[in-house]
Amino acid sequence: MTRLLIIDDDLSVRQSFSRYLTDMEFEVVAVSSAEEGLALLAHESFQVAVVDVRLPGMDGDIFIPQAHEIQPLLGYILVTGSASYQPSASLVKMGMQPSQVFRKPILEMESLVVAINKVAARGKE
Amino acid sequence: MSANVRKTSIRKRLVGLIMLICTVAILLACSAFFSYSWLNLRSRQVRDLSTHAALMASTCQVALAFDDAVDGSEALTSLQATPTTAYGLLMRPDGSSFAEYRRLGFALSPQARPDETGFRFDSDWLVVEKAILLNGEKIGSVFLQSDLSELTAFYQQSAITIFIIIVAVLLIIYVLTLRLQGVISTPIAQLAQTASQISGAKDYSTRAQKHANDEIGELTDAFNDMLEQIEKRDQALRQGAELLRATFESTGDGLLVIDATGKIAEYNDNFVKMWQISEDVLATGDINKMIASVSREVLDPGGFKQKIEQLTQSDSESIDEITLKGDRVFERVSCPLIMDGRATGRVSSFRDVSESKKAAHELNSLRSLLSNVIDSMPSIIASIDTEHRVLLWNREAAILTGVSPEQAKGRKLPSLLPQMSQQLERLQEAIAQRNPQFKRALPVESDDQNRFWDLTIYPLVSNGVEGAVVRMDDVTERVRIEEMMIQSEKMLSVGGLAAGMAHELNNPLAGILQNVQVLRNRLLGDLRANQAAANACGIDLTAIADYAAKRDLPQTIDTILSSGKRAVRIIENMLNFSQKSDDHFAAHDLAKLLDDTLELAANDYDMKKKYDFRKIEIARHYQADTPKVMCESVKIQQVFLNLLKNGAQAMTANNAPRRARPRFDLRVSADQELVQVEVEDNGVGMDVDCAKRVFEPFFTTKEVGVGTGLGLSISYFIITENHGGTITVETQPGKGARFIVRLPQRRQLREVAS
Ligand SMILES: Nc1ncnc2c1ncn2[C@@H]1O[C@H](COP(=O)(O)OP(=O)(O)OP(=O)(O)O)[C@@H](O)[C@H]1O
Ligand SMILES: [Mg+2]
Repeated sequence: MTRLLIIDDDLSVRQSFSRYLTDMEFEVVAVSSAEEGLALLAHESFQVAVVDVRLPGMDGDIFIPQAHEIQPLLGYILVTGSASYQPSASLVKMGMQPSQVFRKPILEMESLVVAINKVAARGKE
Repeated sequence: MSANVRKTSIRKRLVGLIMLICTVAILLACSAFFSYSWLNLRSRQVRDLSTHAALMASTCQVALAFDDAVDGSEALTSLQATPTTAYGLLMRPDGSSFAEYRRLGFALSPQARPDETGFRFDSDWLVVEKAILLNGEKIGSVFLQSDLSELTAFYQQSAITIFIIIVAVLLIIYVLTLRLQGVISTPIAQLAQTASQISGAKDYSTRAQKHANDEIGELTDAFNDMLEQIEKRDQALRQGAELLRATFESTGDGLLVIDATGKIAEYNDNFVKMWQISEDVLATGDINKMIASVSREVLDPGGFKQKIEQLTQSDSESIDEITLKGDRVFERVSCPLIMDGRATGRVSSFRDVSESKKAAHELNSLRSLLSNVIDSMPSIIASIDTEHRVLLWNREAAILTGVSPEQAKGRKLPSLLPQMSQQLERLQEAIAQRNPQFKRALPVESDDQNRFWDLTIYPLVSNGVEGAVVRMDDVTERVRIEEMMIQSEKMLSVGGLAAGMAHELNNPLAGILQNVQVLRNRLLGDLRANQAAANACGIDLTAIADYAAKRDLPQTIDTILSSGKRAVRIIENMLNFSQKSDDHFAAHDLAKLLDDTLELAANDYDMKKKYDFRKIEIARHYQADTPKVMCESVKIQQVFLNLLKNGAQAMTANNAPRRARPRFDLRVSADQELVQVEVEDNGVGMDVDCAKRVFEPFFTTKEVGVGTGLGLSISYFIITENHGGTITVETQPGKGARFIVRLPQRRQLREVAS
């Protein structure tokens, strides 16, 4: 079963992700900050992380390179409230695709599931 | 009169003197002559008679010796030959008569015998006795008597004649003297007369007449000389006095001379006029009365009087000022009047310095005002000469450069202001061509950041001073504010919602919309978890689906989702506006941009509250297929939004014309170069003054809090500065307003700050 790490500081958003994705039969662990996420990654392995960009403390796009150090095979989905967000150069270098960036609110959650499966499949190769 | 007396007395004295001298001289001469001849005659008589007697003695010697009386008598008879011998006698030694002769008719009178000298004179006669000697023995003597009466008579006669002659001569002398004394006395008299005339009439131009080249002539010359000198001196004195008087009167100052006794000695007209002293007071010559009358004019009469007292006692110079009523000020210069080393009074001059004081004061305050103005300017102001050397350096310049005005003077401007070193051509142009030079927002790299300066170079051509005034304003803030204004106005124009807030809205929206999808999934989705939960509750999933369909739950959920989508779209639009647009020029269809903006405006929540766009009739007059225009869509949309918002406000304003339904007429048309967009409303419109000012920043007629007055100024800036287009307005009060935007199809960059 694919293990997902959800990082979002907004409770209702976090809940919507974990409920929806659990229904879609992913194994979901949700935390509210990048720091918690990093701590979790040290002990448990995940296939895909769904990360909010703007977070209290460490931002999502800072978290990703550090998480990559811990679990190089981990795949990522970025979620942001900003319309003008562009992935940083280092993320693009890591192979980040526009299809991995989602704008909040996500109006078609199915598209998120498709993207997660795609990223998880990439990690398995 | 006295001169006359003196004059006659000189003449008389002269005549008298001459007469006296002549008389004495003549008398002396005559008497000398007379006496001489008299004595001479007498001695001759004596000699003659003695000779005669000696002769007689020798003749009669024999007769006596022989005692021959006849012979003796005979001898005596020879005496007849000399008629003057009136008597002869031969005597014996004993004195007895021997022989005698007697002239006829001669009455012998008792005669005195001659003394030892052998003769004797009487008035009328002369007697001589001579001894007759024989062999040394006296044998007798001869006695002769001469009759002098005739002689005496002759002398008497002569004396009378001489006297007459003397008298006649004196007469003649008198007449001559009378005649000739004039030679001497006339010049003197005339001199005297002239002198008396001069002393009487004081006319020193009179001259004495010179008569001869003698001492009197010399005297006359000397006198005339003296007169001339006196006349010259007199003239000089008079001229001096006149000059002094003229000077006294011609000076603009009021002059007053007080003598040693404290009386008014002199004053000029100006003095009287300045102090407005009445004739009566002046006539008294009383200084105290004058002071009393004058001190009424003075602001501080006590001090004034005290100062006068002080001055009277002092013998030094003093300069002071007297303040009078009515803002007048006199300057007083008071000097002691020194004559022959003694103070004989004081001269005071008064000058009305009110005007000059006022003028000086005004000049001073004007000068300080000017320098204050120049110093208070928040600009660098420097004036330079043709060599670019600094003449004037204001405070701001000193503060910004750290170079004080004193240090700056004479130094070259570019060395003080590095900003200017790139602008030497402009300086040259301004000075040489006398063309003012302006440069807006000149970018200058300084050590930490780019700053912008407005530069004005104004040529100086006044009063022969050539050069220029350089003014520099640091407009970095303004340039930044201009950019910030656009930015902030954008946010305000999309319903007063900040971009950050729009961003923030996305999270709660996500909470709603994503959870709705969870809800839909768990209600209607084909999930294993749904099945498990239904089984656990003993409910059939299809029954739940039926129920949901019957209760329109899927549609309701979809409505939520579509509403959410709309909200997302609005936020997207707003976020669009909040983007800092750096050079997003692209080809856009203005008609589409206008429509998009209209939709945005209609959806603007804040705007909706105030005026419902759906109630506004919108008439589109779009020319088909207008060319696309190179522009920044966001900014152009912002302009359109401003126009639409203003129009909507104008049409829904309380004083808007109520007859017609609010209506926008929107037009888009194009020619070769331009695309023109018109936004016309039928609102309140504007009067001419208003229309002139609408594009001014912060010009608003709306209440505080309602309008910032920035909308149109930002629009103006965007259209003209960013896009090289134009924006104008046509309007009349009560007849609505039509804003016309013209944009060039190809991009025409107008530099803002470079
Ligand atoms: N269509 C119009 N009809 C009549 N008056 C107008 C119209 N458009 C603008 N004005 C006048 O021009 C003024 C300036 O407009 P501008 O958009 O610059 O500022 P504002 O609308 O007052 O403030 P803000 O734009 O911040 O709401 C307005 O106050 C209004 O008096
Ligand atoms: Mg406005």
